[in-house]
Order: sequence, then C-alpha cells, then structure tokens
Amino acid sequence: MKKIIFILLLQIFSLNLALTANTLSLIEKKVPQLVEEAGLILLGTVEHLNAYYMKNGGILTHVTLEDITIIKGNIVNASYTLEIYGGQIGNESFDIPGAPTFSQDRTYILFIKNNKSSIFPLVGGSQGQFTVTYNNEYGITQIFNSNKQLIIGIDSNNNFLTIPPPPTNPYIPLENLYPLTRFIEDIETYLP
Amino acid sequence: MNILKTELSLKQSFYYYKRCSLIPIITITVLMIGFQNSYSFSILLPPPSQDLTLSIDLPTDPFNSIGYGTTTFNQLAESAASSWNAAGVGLLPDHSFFTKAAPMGKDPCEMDGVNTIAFTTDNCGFAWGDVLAMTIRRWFGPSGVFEVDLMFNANAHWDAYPGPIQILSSGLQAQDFTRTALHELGHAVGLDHPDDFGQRIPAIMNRQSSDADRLLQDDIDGAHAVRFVPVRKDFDLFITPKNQTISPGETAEFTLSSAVIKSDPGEIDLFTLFGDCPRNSKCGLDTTTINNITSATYKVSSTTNTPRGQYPQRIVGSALRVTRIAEATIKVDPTINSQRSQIVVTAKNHLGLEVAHAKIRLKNQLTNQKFRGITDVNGNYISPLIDSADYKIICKKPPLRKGKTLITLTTTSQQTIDCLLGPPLP
Repeated sequence: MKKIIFILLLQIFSLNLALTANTLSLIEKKVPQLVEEAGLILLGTVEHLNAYYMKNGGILTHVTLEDITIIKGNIVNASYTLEIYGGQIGNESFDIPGAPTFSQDRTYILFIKNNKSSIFPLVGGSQGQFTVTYNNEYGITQIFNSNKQLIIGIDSNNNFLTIPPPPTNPYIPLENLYPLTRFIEDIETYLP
Repeated sequence: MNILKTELSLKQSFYYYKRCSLIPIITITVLMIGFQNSYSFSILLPPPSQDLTLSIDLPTDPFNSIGYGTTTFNQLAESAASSWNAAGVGLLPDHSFFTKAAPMGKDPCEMDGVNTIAFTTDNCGFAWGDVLAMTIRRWFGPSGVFEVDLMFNANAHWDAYPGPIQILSSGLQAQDFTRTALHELGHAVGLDHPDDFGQRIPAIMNRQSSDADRLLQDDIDGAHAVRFVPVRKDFDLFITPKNQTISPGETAEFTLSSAVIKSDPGEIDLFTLFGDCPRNSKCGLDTTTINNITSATYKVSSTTNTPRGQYPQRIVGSALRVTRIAEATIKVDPTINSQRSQIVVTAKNHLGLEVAHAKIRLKNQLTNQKFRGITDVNGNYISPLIDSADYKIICKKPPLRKGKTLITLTTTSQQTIDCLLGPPLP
C-alpha cells in the first residue's frame, strides 16, 4: 500500500514538474512538434538585416540568410528572407522582449512556420531558433537554444537536453559533446 | 505482538521509502543550489525613461474565474500594475510607476504615446501563432523607453487563479491572466527573462511559467535594479486642431503648444515622424523647439497629386527624459465644401495695448472642437482654416485677468476680433 502511495506521490510530483514547464507567453513545443509544425527547417548564416516601416508605423526587419542547408522543405533561391516584427530605423526603435533576435554573420538552425504571416515566424516563437557556434577547444560545432543553453541531446520524452552555459558550467564534459552533425541526424529521424 | 511486528514492519518500510525518497530530493536540492547563480534577474536595455500611464482597454464585464471569484480582466490588469507599484521600480523605488488613465481605445500596434493594454484577435496584422501575449517597447535614439503596448491573444482561453497551472477537461491549459499580466508589465518595467540566460531561479519573469502566481523576490530585486529615476519635470504636448480636412493643393496648419506638469522642463525639442507626411506633399515645422510660452506651427502642404485619404500626423516632443506625442489627423478630400476661413485674434490689455505671448483658445460651439495658440509679438494669433460656426474665444496672460469673447464665422474671408484682458488681479 505504502509503495503504491509512494509511486502515486512520485507521479504527482512528476506531473507537477511537467505542468510547470508551460511557457508564460509561448506554448512550449517538444522536438517532434517543432519538426512537424515547421514547414521549413534550415541551417543558414545571416548575410544582412534590413528594417522597413509598416503601414501602421511599426517596423519590420528582413533577415536574409545565405549558405543554406535544408533539413526539411524546399526553397527556390540560394538565399532565404525571414520577416521579423520589430527593429530599428534611424533613431526610432521598438522591440518585443522574448522575440527571436538575429545577428549578422551568425549561423542558425531555424524551424520556420508561417513566414511573413505570423508575428514570430518560428515554431514556438524563439523555441524554433538555435544558434550554431564553433568550439575551438573541442574542435566541434555546437548548438545553443534561444535560452543560450547548450543542447546535449534529446531525452526519452522528446525534449532537448540542455546544460547551462558558462559561467555556470565553465567546461563541457566530454560525454556531453553533441556536434551539429548529430543534431541534424537526430532531427531527421523525426521527419515523416 | 503481531501488531508490534506490523508496526515495526511499517516503520521499516517507511524509513526505507524515506531513504529512497531522500535520494532524489537531495539530488534535486543539490542541482537547484548548483544552478542558482550569483546573478539572477535580467535587465532590458534601454530602461524606461518616464512613468507609464496605462490605458487599460480590457473587458469590464464580470466573469466567474477559477480562483478569484467574480472579477474582470480590467481589474486583474490593474491589480497586476498595483503589485509592481507596491514593489517599487527603479533605484529610488518609485511606487507610482504605473498610473491609470481612462481607456482611450487606441491601437496598441501604433506608436502614439499611449500605453495601451488590450486583447487583440491578430497581432498587428500578423497571426498570433504560438504567442499568448507580448509587450512592445518603443524608444528614440539613446533615450529610454517612453511607450509600451501590451497585447493579449484574444483567441486563448484566459482565466484567473492562484497556485499551480491548471489544465481544463478539454486538455488545454487555462491561461492565468494575472501572472501573464504581471510578466508583461515586468517587461514594461524593464525586466527580461532571467531563464533566457541559462539561469534557474523562481521568478514571474521567467520565460517558462510556473506555480509562481505573484511577484517573487528576484522580480522585486530586478525592479529595484532597473536604471530608472522618476522624472521631476514633465509636460504635455498639444496640437490643434485635432482634425483638418483640405482639398488637394491646400495647406493644413496645426499649432503645437505645451503645458507644464510638475515643474517646467524648459526647451522641448520637436520632430516629426518619417512616413506620416502624405505622398506628394510637403510637411514641416516652423521651429524645432518650443517652451511653456511659445508655440510652433506644423504645416502640411498638399498638391493636386496628393492622394485623397486620411493621414495621422504625429509630432514628438522631447525634453530631459520625457517624450510626449501629439496626434492629429488630416483628411485630403477633393469633395469638401470649402466654407472655411480664419480668425485673427488680437489680445489687448485694459489700456488697449497689444499683448504678445498670450494664450488663445477658440472653441467651436457646435462641435466643441478646440484650437489653441499663442499671440505673436504684435499680439496677433491667426487660426488655421476652420469651419463656419460660432466660436468662443478665451485669452490668458497672467497676471492679467483672462478675457472672453464670441464670434460668428460666416464668410470665407478672414475675420478679426479683439480679446480684451482685464487689469491684473490685486
């Protein structure tokens, strides 16, 4: 009986943890959802950022990506332009805290959905944005999520496994090496 | 004996499970301590430059919430703003950072100097997608944020309750409006998501929602760390008239003036916004600074090629750390009946001498439309082109007593009138 109660308590505890994982302003996505909902998944480098005024006085930023590798979907041209709400023109700026941001010359893996029609054209807002960086020490390319946490794999619940970045974690244990090639291979296993 | 054995057996199993349960608890505690860093809250740049007056355009219809009984979304938003005020914002915690104005029904997508909170079915012309709520922050150059607009996804299932996040029988999450409003207002305060930087600390400002249903210590510490100091000098910016209709080829003229709030900020820098000027028109200010006693004229000179339509005009005034926006609308319509003219008001004192820099106000007695201006060095104020109607005119120039007069504008030619100021008050 006690064992059953204990198991039940553990289940309630786990359920509570699961519930607290919902996001405040965005609906949280698991890896299969990210892959399924994305019309296009690509690896690309930001070539340039251009901001424009909208009719209502808002600002749109066009993020042009080049050196593209397609993981899901198709594109016609060698470059791809993502439309992001917010930006800066002259001395006028507006931003949306929590919205995906892009830097020139930085490489990203993007899970794109409803580009040019959705306020954030990435699946799950910034959840569909991953930054790719080269780690000189280990000689591998690593992936960080939009929370700037290092991706180290995908768990049995189909969530990305992450570890906090430096300075919390000054070194990356060898067993946590998860290079870009494995990341892409793992993503491809969820493709239909 | 049996009983004792059973008790002993129970105790053994209790301690066994206690030992077992201690392992994950200790592990989680160690991990939690490990993850809690010396740094926590995260600050957005730039910080706010001024207090924020909120136009809460949320439903005032009562509904039965899951956890707070009968309430309204308007009340919940007010309560969330009050929580931040109670915590205080800035280095010298400002406990009146958020104030409430009457709802103005403005579009939260537009920069208009109004801090609007509203439910919207779309997101400035885009689909909401996976987004439940968002905050837009606006600023110019190196100055701080002067406007924030909060939008809540009208398509989401909103409710209100304390404690753990609840799942409805449909399997969907009941979105607690209070904690979302606290979170979005936290962005208005100048706070970012602490968990965006790999940190794990309990906070309402975390991107990941939790059982936190009120401001926690990290949120309050963050609010106190925002580089904000309440403004001591403030002003309001006025533009008159608020609406003008012209035919293509005509010029619309607006007058900009200011009024001191708190204490005088001195010179106010004026500028217009790119994109407001109608196509094939010229727009400009006659001066780029005004103060408490001077005014500026903003002219929109259309041409015969200016497309018909309605064009919002925004003039930005900036002094010290305060930014205000005055809004007017110009309508270009070739079909208007041009029964309009100008009134020239000459302010005179009790000795019959012209009075410069007197404040003039014209009020259309039929529509209550008001026009404001200041007399020039010759004591004259020339109104913009205005509709034929009865107008009440008030002139002021302290310490002289204010003067009042009436005029009926009936012709299409300019009319003149004197506004007599009384002798100074004893």
